[in-house]
This record gives sequence, C-alpha cells and structure tokens, in this order.
Amino acid sequence: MTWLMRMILALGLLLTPGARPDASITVMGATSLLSYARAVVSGWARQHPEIRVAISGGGSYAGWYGLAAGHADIALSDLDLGRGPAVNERRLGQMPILFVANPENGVESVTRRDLVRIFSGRVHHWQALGGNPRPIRLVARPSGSGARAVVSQSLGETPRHLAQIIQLSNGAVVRAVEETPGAIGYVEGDRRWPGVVTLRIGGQAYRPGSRGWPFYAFPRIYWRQAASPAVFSLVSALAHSSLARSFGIFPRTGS
Amino acid sequence: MKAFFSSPRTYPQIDRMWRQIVFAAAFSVLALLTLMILVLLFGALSFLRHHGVISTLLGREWDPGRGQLQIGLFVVESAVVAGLAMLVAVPFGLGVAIFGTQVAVGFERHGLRWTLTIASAVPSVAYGWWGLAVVVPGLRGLGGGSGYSLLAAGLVLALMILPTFSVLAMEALSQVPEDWHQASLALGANDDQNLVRLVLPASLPGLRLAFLTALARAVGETMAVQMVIGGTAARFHGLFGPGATLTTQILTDMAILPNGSSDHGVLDLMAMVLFVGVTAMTGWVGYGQGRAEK
Amino acid sequence: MSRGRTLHQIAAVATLVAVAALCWVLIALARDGLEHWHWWLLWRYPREIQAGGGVGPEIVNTMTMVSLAEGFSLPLGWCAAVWLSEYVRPSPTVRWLERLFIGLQSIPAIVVGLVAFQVLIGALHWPLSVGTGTVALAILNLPQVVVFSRQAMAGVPQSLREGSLALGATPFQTVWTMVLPASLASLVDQMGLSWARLAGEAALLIFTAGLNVGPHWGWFQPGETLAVHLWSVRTEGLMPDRASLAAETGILLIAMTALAIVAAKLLSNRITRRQRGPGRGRGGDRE
Repeated sequence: MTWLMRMILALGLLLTPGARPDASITVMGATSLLSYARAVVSGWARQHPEIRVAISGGGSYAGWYGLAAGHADIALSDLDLGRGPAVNERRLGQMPILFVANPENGVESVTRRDLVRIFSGRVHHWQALGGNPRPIRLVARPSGSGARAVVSQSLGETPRHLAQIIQLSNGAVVRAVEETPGAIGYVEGDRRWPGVVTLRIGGQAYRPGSRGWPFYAFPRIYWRQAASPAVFSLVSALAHSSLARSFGIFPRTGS
Repeated sequence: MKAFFSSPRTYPQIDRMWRQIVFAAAFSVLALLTLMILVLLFGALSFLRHHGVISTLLGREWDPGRGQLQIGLFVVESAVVAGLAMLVAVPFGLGVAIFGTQVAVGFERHGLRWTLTIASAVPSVAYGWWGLAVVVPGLRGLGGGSGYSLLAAGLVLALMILPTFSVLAMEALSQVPEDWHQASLALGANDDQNLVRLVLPASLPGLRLAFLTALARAVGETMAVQMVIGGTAARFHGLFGPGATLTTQILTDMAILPNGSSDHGVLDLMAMVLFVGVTAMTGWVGYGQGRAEK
Repeated sequence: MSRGRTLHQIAAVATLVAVAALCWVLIALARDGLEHWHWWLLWRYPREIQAGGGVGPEIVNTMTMVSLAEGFSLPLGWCAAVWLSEYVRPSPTVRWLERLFIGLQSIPAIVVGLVAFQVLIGALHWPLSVGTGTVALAILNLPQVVVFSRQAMAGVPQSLREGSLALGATPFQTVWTMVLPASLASLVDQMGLSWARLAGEAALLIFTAGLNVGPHWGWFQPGETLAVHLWSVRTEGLMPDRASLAAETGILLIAMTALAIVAAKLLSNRITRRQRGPGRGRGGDRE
C-alpha cells in the first residue's frame, strides 16, 4: 500500500500547475486571424528562441474565456467583446468581409438589397437576380464567428428554417462555395480566392482602404495587464507587423 | 541486483512487490477513467440544475447565442446517421465475412484480410476527404440538395466502419467448428442451407459484438462526419439536407461555449449522452458474452 | 456453380463491391498524393501562404506523441489486465468492471478531448502542447490496451498456468515466463493496430495539441500531428498548393499507419512461428 501512496503522490506532483514553464505563451482565438498569427509568430519566435508559443483556434469567445481563466495569454478576436477588468485591448485595424459565389451562378454583382433578400430567404433562385437557373445555397459560419456577427448585424438574421451549410473557417467556406453550384458565402480578409467569384456590391469591388465598403470586421488583440514582457513584445509584433496587409488587415479608414 | 532476482529466498518478496505493482496499475487506470467520468458528470449535472432535463434532452431549439440549449435534434440526427451507416455497412460487411470465411481460399483470403486491415487503419480524416471529393458531388446530382447531408455522412461512415465490421464478423464466422460443417453437409444440407441454418445462428454472439462495435464507432466519429454533414443545427432538413450530430456540434460549439463560459456544461451533457449511449451498447455485448460463457 | 450457392454468390458480389469502394478511397488518395510527390515534404517546415511547405515537424510529432502515449498506456494497461485476469477471483463486481472497460473501449475521442481540455488546460494550465496531446492520447488508448491484453491472456490455456504453479513457480514467475510469452504474438499484433489508430486521431488533438508546430521539439511545445495537419490544410489551408499538399500528407499518414500494422503483424507471425518450432504449421495462416 505504501507503494500505491507514493505513486499517487508522484502523479499528483507531476500534474500540479507549477509544471507549466514560465517561458510559454499561448495565443488563442478567432480562426480568421490564425494564419496571420502563425506567420507573425514564426518570425518572432526566431528572435526569441527561449520562449514557446502555442497557437490554437477555437474562436473569439474561446480566446476571451481562455484569457480570463488563465490558460491563454493573448486572445485574438474579430468581435467586440468589451473590456474586462485588468485586460488590455488593441485594435488591429479592419478586415473586409467579402461575399464569394460559385462562378456558375452567373452573377458577379449584387446590391445590398439583393444580399438582404438572399440571406433572409426571400429569393431562392439566381435567375431572380439575373443569373443562371440555379437554386441559391447559403454557406455560413457557425454562431460565435465574427464574420457571421457582422453579416447578420448588417443584413438581418437568417431565418432558422433555411438549410444553411455551416463551415468552421474561411478556407472551408471558400472550398464549399467553390464545389457547390449555386452557393454563396462570406469570408474575412482581402484575398483573391481562386475558383470563386468575389461579388461586387452595388457595382463596387473591394479595394484596400475603400471608404464605401459596407462590411468590415474589426479584429482585436486582448491580453492581461499583468502579463510578462514577452507577451507585450509579441502583442506589439502582432500589432505592427508589415505582414498584416498580405493577410487582408488594414489600418482603419474611419468609415 | 541479479542475485536479488535469481535467489529463491527473495521469490516471495518479488512476488509481493509484483502484486502491489499490478494492483496499483489497475487502481490508477480505474481512478483515471473514473475521474474522467466525474468531470463530465459534474459539468452535465451543474448544467441540468439550471435547465429542465426533459426539455433539454428532447427539445429541438438550439441557438447558443440566445441561450437556447436543447440537444434533442442532435440525438435524433446522430441516430439517423449511424443508422444509415449500419444499414449500408452490415449487408456488405456480412457479405465480405461470408465470402472471406466460406468461399475464399489462399490468395483471395489473404488479400482480403490485408486489404481490410489496412483500410481499418486509414485515418477518418481521409474518409471524410474522400466523401468531399466523391459522395457530396454524387448526392448533389442525385438528390438536388447541396450534397452536404445526413445521407453523405451516413455513406462515408458506412465505408469507414465496413472494415471494422467485416474483420470482426469474419472472426465470428470462423469460430464455427469444422466438424459442425461436415456434420451439416453429411446430413444433406447444401451450402446455403448450411450457412443460414448453421453458420449464422452459431456465430450470432460474435456477430452481435461486431455490430455493436461498429455502431459505437459510427456514433462516436467526429472528423469524417463534420467534413460532409453541412452542420445546420436549427431544423431537421431530411436525409438530403444538412444536419449536425452530437459529435460535430461539440466540435463546432467549442467556439461559442468555450471552457469557462456559463453554458459550457451543455457540451459536457452532450458528451455524457454519447458516452452513456456507447458504453451501454458495447457493455451489453460484454453482458451477453458473460452469459454465453456460463 | 452447383445448386444452393446463391447466397454465397451474392456474398461474393458484395465483397467485390466493398473491396472496390475501399480501394477507390486508397487509390484516389494515392493518385493525388503521388502525382505531385516531393521528397522535401519529409523535412521542410510548414508554410502559411507560400507554396513549398513541408511536414517535417508534424512527422516527428506524430511519431513521438503516439509512441510516448503507447509507452505510457501499454505497461499501465497491461499490468491492470494482469490484475484482472490473474489475481482477482471472478465476481459480479469484476464482471461489471470488465463490461465497463469493454464499453470504454469505444468511447468517442471527442469526449476524451473535452475532458482532457477541461482538466489539463482549463484546471492545470498546461499549454496546448505535445505533452497535453500525449496524455490525452494515452487516456484514449488505456481502455483498449486493458481489453486487448485481457483477451490475449484469456487465450492462454488455463492448464499452462496450473502446470507452472504446480511446479512451485510464484504468480510473478508464471506471468513473466508463461503467460506473457504465450500471449506475446497477439499483444504485438494489437499494438500495431492501436498505434495506427492513435496516429490517425485528429478530433482529440485539435483541442489539446494545437494547430502549429514549435521551432524545436519539447514536452510543452505546440504539437500539430500529421492527421491534424491534413484536416487543417484541407479545410483552412491558404497555401496555393494546398490540394496536393493535403493529398501528400494523407498518403504519408496512411503509409505510416500501414507500415506499423504490417510490421506488427509480421513480427507477431514470426513470434508464433518461433514458438511453434520449425516444421509445425505455417505461422502465416494464424490470424
């Protein structure tokens, strides 16, 4: 029996919170910012080889709660989650939300009103919008995604009886839109996605910094005020990286 | 050290130590698994304290952003997807098992076994990927919908559990003693009669094990299903429409109900439902076997 | 074909269809993967938005995490199985315990992932890392190890144990010199299968090991594995060569799991043959 006691004690010691190394930073949050974070972190980590940085998705809320519970050090969000006590916030700029459609729909430009009709289920066929005779298929992000929050705030909630296809990330949305005839979806970031049509809205194509673009998400970084210097350093790297533009994140235009 | 292990005088000492090691191992395995169950149970119960049991388990309103947390729809769709998978996989798997044990010899038999063994180790992500490339476009042409559907998930799962089921069923069929075969044939049974009246009934307990193990795998699979099911959590849209199962919805809603949020317990509850369902199913096999051995 | 073989013919057709479908999956993957095969995939680091990234760290993570998880769960689970099969007397409690293990054997991985996240990351503040993923994998594997070790030991004839004990051997000696060698072939075989199963696991590791890799390997370094990489490239990848990269990763992963299974099976057959002695039956036929 003493053997057993000793073993349990050893296990307990192994599992104590103290086992976590100090030189470790966990970045958690919105999947739409993950690629950007990974790109910045891989450069930053080369200058700080003694610090381990883990990146995980999970969504904006997961990052926020992780920060509050202490298992994340930096939270990435594309939603305004307010400001908790003892938490710093830094805005990264703005990220456009683009509407992408399957090329076979035959529609390359829509008005904002069309989008409202599409996402509320009042129009069912691309024919009604001057396109080919195909049923409209909505591809959406799950609730809790920043892009979905922006879109439903601006276009109204999509009624629950519509059969939307839910995909967990921007890449997955594009893939589903590309492969499904009649599909339309939305993605964050300014990228030329091959295989899909990026819709013009009211005749306007998105251009970096264009003032009239109606759909923007505003990504944010959160971190604890009592964070280590390494965290501050990584935050400032994330906030000022020259890579931001190539991931579709631009300074705010104040529109 | 060597003297310690080889001297007869220390045998009882070693034996006592060994008994303690083995007991400690069994105890810690049990403790770990119990801990796991307790964590889930705690989360699930603290959620249920604030929400009605019946309405949560049977209701169909799911909108975590608004605090509507009823998981009935996912239970139903999990059952539908797993049921579809079994409906397709069992006849084919049984066919494979019959062919593999009663017909095939030598190279055919060997080749079949190796193919099944390798296929049963193909990662589920790979099956999901095949589903996206083949099943989803196929169903789109067939059923008119988007292709992302319960049926697609069922078909992908069917293929995924087919090797598992076939291998276990083959094992069950090959347990029937050779002299029983000969006795049956000597009494004038033809091959089909031999199969239906002797081989299948005699291997029923093994077949049941195969069936329930495959079913448990189908119910518990996450990645392959998530890739092709479409993920709609609001309404039941039919077999050709998108849906969500317990496993895929846990994966999806980790994002809005992360650890630490007040409604996170509902995910524990969903995991608990899965866990109880699967354990009850496969535990029942153990029960049946225990009785058969007596 | 003679009369009364209709059902057998149907079974043959069903087998043909099933094997064709399974080969379809394997061949589709192999074709896509080998078409653009690059050897540098094996050692390069992954890249985010440029083409030409590799999966070197993912290979190392897969190998080490799965092997460590096996190294942890195998001895523990085997010892627990020894206790169950050699030490306790059969009683209703023990039967319930075994039933519980058989049930736990098919526990959905995502359930283990959820719990591992809550305990290791939520409560103990471990980072998402190699270590967290390894522990989660080990826990997923434990009930399986117990069940298959138990089955392997149940296959050893009771008369062998009785003979050993009657000759004055202690239970310790009986287990190590009699039961273990006699059940070794079956154990090795099952080990290969469980290694392959863990290597293909993705749902569990997305929560616990993270989606990126560290600059070098370590217990608390982030630990993306091949299966997770395959999923994330296929669903979220931004690199231009993502389609071929996913296929290459997939074929690599399947090759690794198949290799593990085949190696274990060959080793197991070899053990059986050696134990049976030369000239007595062909080991290859024993499954």
